[in-house]
Amino acid sequence: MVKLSIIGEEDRKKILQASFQVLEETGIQIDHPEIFGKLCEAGCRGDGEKKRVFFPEALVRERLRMSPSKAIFADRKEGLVIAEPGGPSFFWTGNALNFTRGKESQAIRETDFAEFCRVVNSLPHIQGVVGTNLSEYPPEAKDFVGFRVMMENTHKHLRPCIYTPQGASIIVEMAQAYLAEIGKDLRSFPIVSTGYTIVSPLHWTKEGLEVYARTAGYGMPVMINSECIAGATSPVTLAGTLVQANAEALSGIVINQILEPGRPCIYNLGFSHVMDMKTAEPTTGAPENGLLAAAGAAFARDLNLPSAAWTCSDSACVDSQSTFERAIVGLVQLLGGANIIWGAGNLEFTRAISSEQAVIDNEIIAAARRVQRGIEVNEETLALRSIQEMKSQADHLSSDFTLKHFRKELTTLNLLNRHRRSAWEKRGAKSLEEVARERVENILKKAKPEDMNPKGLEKVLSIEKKWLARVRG
Amino acid sequence: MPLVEKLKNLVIEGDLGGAPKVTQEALQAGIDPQSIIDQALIAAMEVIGGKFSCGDLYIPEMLLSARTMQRALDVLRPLIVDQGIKAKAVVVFGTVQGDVHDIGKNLVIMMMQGAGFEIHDLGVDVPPERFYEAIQRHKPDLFCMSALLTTTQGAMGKAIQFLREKGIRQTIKIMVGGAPITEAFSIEVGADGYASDAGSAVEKAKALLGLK
Repeated sequence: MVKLSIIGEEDRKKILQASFQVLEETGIQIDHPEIFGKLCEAGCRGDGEKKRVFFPEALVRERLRMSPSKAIFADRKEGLVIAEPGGPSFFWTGNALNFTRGKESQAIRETDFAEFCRVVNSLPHIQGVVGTNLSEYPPEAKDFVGFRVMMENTHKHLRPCIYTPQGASIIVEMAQAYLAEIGKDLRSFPIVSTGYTIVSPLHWTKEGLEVYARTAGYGMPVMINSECIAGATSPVTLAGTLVQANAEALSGIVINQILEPGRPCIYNLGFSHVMDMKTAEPTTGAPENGLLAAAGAAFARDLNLPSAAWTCSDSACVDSQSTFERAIVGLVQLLGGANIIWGAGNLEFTRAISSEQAVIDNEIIAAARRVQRGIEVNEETLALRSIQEMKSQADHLSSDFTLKHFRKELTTLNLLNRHRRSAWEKRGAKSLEEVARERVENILKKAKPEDMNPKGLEKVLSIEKKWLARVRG
Repeated sequence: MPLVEKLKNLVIEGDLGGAPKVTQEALQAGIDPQSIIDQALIAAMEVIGGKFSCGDLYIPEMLLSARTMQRALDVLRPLIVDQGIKAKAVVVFGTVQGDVHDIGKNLVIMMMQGAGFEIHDLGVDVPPERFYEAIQRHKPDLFCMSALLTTTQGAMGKAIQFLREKGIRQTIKIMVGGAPITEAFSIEVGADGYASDAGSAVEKAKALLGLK
């Protein structure tokens, strides 16, 4: 496998040591009194008045050893996949506020998100679907309603976007009820995972910590996100941002290992941004996004933990920019070894999702994975006999050797034009965006909502109905 | 070069040391504080704001100019109080209850200070009661709220409703902003205005208040 080394071992040690210093001397703001107490009981020093907790290095290292090196994610149809340092990368979608078609964008409705899930369901290189903001529902219902929409429209692993601690509890209730109907549970078959993001710099809110507390005890994987904005919520230097982001992620892992020793935690520095110094927007498609995420993956390998990243585009629509940013940043993140890479289908600083972009991303991932696979060299692939037989004849096309190897050796991409101009014109002279739109329409013609276990679905719908009634009063 | 013009250039260049010195010189030369504020400081920040809107300036450079303007204002402040010179507008600002994000708010505040507004920043996670108290105390022309999260944007409507119940909603203009906020949402919660970014917030505020 082709691997990209972004940051050397000595430099990683310096950064890790600086992060320990931040945790021990600067500390983290902890807004949750109960978790504050648990951290102090475990050996941290606490300043109750300032809600600040100081983490000794020995305690952090001790809790890190409890955190498993593997996290298992279930797909209802394909079964289990394992995320682990040095292992393969899995691509998921990302959350958003708006649904973009062509150059138009509007607040995401349930029907838009259902369409997006159905499209992604048929894309083989995307393994997980992330929940999103459903505009017609109140904040207290967006997460669990979204979870039901995802369940109904895709069999892939589900990562609802959590809006309230109560929403997290309801999702656990729904998932457990469904899994009970198929004779499984969350620990052995985690069809859903969760996570939360620290407020940078160095501040865990009560809501975020309560989500961790409410989802602890089920063996569910949890993603610990630091989402620094270099130059705004963290130092503008990438090394400084890594020091802070690492301290933030480590604090989240300690907290989760106190709440549920042995809970699979995904160490995630890969949601970090850099601030665009002209527009004040947190970029998602800048080269630095790739560097930060790939460095984060290297730290995760040092700490023996699974890692994550987010690749997106700052473009407002599907265009050359969205493809260009995705390809560069995504490739760096993939070759850097991030295990779970969010953002397939995302646009506009992660504010939007687009079915067309998801279709294009599926193709970019296929190409990037081929690059990652590298060049296989062995007696067979050296093809010495084939070269000797052909001598100066250019007839490899008709050889048995080609027939045997071409499918594995060469990437088949379905969206890109590989016709000469005249043939391209005969086929309608379509741009990549137009081809992607057609592909989406074709998928939607064929795809049906996923066949869920009927009794399980009934239970999920009944829980949704019960809680929606309570939320709406 | 006339002293006012010199000071204006120093603010544009972000000369933290030079600006207070030249402000002092201008006062000694008999130029009145209001003229210094209008013709040097605010004029400089208008140039800076224009360059920023065109994408010709980086935010740290704009911050440096804003800080330089504040240094000059520090020299003028005792005289402003003595002579009863008023700010262009008084603004109460805060991030809504349940939300601890403040980058966007701080950027807008910086732009508004640059335009000569007096800002009372209540910080983050501000409940409706504190907004109400601050409005009663400072009697602002404009009340601004910021939110970053879809889960907290609803607090804007609650704060406006609280002001309505207290009977002071109609006494001020209200502006809202933040990542998930839209024009439609601002109308829905009963705000008077919305700005999508820090650059346009000042123009929107001026339009709402009928300022040039």
